[in-house]
Amino acid sequence: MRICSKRGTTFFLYLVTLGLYSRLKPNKLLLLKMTRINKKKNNMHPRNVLRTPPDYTKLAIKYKDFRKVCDLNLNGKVSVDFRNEQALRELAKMLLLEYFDLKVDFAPGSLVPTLALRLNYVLWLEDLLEPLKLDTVRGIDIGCGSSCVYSLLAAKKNKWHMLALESKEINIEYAQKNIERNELQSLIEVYQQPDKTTIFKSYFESPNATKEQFHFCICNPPFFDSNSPNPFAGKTRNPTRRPAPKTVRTGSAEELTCEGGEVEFVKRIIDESLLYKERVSIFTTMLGIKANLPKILDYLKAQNISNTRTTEFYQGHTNRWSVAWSFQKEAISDTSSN
Amino acid sequence: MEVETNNNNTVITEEIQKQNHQGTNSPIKLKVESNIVIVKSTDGIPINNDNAEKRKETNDDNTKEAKRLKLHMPATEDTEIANKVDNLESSKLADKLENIAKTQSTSIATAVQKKAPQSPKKRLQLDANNADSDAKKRRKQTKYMYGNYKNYYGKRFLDNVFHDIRLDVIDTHKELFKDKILLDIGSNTGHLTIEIAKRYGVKSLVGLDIDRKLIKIAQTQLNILKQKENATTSKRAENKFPFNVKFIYGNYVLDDDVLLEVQRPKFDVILCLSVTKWIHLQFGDAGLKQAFRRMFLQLLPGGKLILEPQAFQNYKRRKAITEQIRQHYNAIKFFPTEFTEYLLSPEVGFSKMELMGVPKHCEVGFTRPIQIFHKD
Repeated sequence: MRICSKRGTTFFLYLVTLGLYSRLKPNKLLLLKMTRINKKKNNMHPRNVLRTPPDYTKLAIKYKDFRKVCDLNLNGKVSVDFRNEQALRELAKMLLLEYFDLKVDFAPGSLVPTLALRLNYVLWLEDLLEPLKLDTVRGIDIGCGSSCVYSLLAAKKNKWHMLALESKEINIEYAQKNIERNELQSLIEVYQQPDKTTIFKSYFESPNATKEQFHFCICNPPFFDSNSPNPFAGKTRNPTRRPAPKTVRTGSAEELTCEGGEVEFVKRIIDESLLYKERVSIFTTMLGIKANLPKILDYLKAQNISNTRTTEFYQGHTNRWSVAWSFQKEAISDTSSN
Repeated sequence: MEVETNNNNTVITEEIQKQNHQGTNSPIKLKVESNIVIVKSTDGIPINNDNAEKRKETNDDNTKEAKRLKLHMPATEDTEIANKVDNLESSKLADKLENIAKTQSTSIATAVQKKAPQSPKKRLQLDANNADSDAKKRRKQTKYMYGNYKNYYGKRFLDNVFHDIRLDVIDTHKELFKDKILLDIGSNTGHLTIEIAKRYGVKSLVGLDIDRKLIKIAQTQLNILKQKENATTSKRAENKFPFNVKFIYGNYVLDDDVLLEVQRPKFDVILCLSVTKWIHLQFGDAGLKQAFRRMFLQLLPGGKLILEPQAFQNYKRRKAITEQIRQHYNAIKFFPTEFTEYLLSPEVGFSKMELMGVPKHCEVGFTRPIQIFHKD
């Protein structure tokens, strides 16, 4: 048993004393070894409605489309095959309908949002914006995708005004349809990005841009680097032993990769944020790869941006990270990560 | 050993007393309160007229369960009577009494004296007007409201001589099981399930039961068999018996009929032996019809359903176990005589019914026809 941390040391000592003074049978001791004492269980955001796993059996009885992609176990319980893209799609649609009354459709081949993660991000933003005590909140959704899920959630749940930026035509079509289907046109505006390399520039310099203050920006960058030979290969020491992902990967190459990956993409956001310091109160972005978090923080430091905050989103097997920075002193109060 | 009990107060039978006297001139007068109850009354007349009806029932139960196992073993080793009196214990008790008389050991006597519980018949008599025993009786009945009898196959465990009467009939159609994927609905403690898997060289066998405890017993039995297997045999890798058997706990009847849409075919053969009565009583006509449809949907093309339905007169005794069962019983419109027709109708869709056979040499109540339904 490796002792890899201080916590581990205390656990090891506990185990030794337990072994010496107790009369546990060997296999029971092994069981104890396998369960870490004092393990902090990382959970979703406290207000996340998916914190308790949904009862798929009841949901399958309720929703016909969802039923088509389920499997029925022998004991009568329904299970979802997360390695099937069609199943993931129907699952996402069903969850959005069930928990938020949002009727959403996705462009074929486009990224299917995982609701737990999206909710965690929106809830974290709610926490960030809460001390500002705003009446109307305006936000920018960078790269909304065909689902436009962040904007839809923000608008439906909190009545925030959202500007959805998207460069891919087909995604814009679907996003617009989703907004109209849920009658949120008054709250969400979709703007077509003519230039993929810029973030805010095209919008802020366009003649119809609103002069209003934006309070936050939210972003799911393309995680992977299109320049690397094998973009989706994770960094593992033993690739043959690492298990396959629990869900199948969805999304087009455009949505998942870009030149330089998420590091370059986020650097571009940071550079543009320096140009538009007063236009947006809190800049945020998600990061998919843990190793990139310190890189981004270093970059922020290099740009002399001191007012930053980081957080982690836990969704069962998947963790994501997020960085927020602001040029307004009162926006993010402390630099500790939550 | 055939023993008789007299009304209420006499506890030790005359026979045992005789034996004691024959053994030695022991001054020990044992006043052991035995739990020995009639197995077969010498002249066939029920002794106690008050509980005549009840006594008859319990007698019938015992002989039925025993005879289903087709073992003509002495009465002392038969299966439990419905009121939980163990004859095995009683014979052991009698043996003990003999030994006591011979060895004159007082300590054992007292030990035996302490162990032997009060005669249940006496208890019934005493508490006749006491509602407590009524509730107790009802609780005992509801314990088995799914037909999940704990000692259905007897107290034997991993006995090589296990033989259920139905195996005689199933033997005639051995080829149905060879290299097939099987499902046994209502596998109880798994004795019959494991026997089938062992005998007929099945590819895999899943046993389903609604009672967690029974599944646990079945799993334990299976684990013992697995441990017995030598580590060097390749049975585990090849997925041969006993490694191709699995027991699952769950209810075969689904929460809602729409879930049937999700059911995909999985099994070659489904066994449903003496379970329909319980599904019918617990879940009503609708539940049973849904179960039949599920069975059809779960079968692969060319699959077979082996069904042993109980006749309607068998339902009567269990009709009042719980309120829900009584309601379902009163509301039954889909009678067992109509099962075959329903299964062959387009609503379910089996193409053919073939009579496998009827078990012989067992109690009348158990001579149920075993049918095979074919799916195209």
